[in-house]
Amino acid sequence: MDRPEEGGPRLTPLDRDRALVESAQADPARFDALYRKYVAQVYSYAYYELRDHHEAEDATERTFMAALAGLRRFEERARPADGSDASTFRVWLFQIARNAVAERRRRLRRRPEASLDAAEAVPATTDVEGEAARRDDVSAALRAIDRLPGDRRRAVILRFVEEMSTSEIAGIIGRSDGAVRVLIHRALRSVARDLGDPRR
Amino acid sequence: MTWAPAGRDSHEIDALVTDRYLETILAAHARGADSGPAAVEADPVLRQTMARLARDLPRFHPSFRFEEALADRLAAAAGRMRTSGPDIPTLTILPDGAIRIAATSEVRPAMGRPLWIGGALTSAALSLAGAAYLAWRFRRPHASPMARAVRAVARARLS
Repeated sequence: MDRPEEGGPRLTPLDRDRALVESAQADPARFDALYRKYVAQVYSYAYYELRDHHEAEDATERTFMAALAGLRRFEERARPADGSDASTFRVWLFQIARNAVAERRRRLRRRPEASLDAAEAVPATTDVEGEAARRDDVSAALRAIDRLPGDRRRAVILRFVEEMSTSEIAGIIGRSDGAVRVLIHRALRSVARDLGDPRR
Repeated sequence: MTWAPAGRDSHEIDALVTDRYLETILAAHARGADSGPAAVEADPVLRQTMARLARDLPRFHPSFRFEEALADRLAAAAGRMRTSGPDIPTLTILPDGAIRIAATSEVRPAMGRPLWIGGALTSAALSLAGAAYLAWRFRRPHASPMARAVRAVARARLS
């Protein structure tokens, strides 16, 4: 363990994005590197939550504009437990994205939701039968995810799609690592029941 | 023989086992494999579900057009931040003589930017230190009677 001895030197792992963040803090024009690195992840998360390309684009734009405006206030908060691959910038960025998505969802609730099957967005292939089966599988998985309550759904998306660590997800949704593990475990039980139910 | 870490209930232990197994699946996916050797054995139903979600949940990408358009808008916003800055110190003398200084997170020795004072654009040669001094001088007469009394005592002690 890398826990420091009492009174000894305090070891803080390097944030994976430290160089990019410091560069952008010194010159906002260099924010582009961080944007390029995370735009697809933020968009994908927003799309899972909102299921509308335009809404996801809007939430993505708000996220990055807010991140650019607030970058000087960002402080790295890596903990030894986060490991050497952690990015507190990514956690901070996804906290902003989570708020942007929540704001869009509140607005969407005030008007009828567009029915859009996200499986349609899966890239087409030349294998028609295989593609149809794949679309069915994707549709079933997406429907199962959709039926999960808020934080369970969020935790599953961040874990499986964005491939974040439990610790990063904990930072984003404001829960402990243990609580996130339990959320995911319970979500998987629900999804397993759902996918195993032929009526769905 | 069963093993349970102290202070953890069965839900947490199951969740921990699931998490460890999931870690191996995601690591295998990152390597381009369907699954890898697992150090822990999770519930078979959950293993199947995890494998399925890891395989079937796609990552959606924004359109190239949107990505580039947003990159341009961010570059424009970054350019505005470079020329005007999001937290430029500004000093304003209001019509009633009160002075308002906008908060700033950094103090620069000489400002290359104009200041608005009483509605007139002054030259960029006015330093921040000068502006702060001016503001202090304008504020000083408005001090409370107690502050004036304290200053008077201090002056008397010095003389």
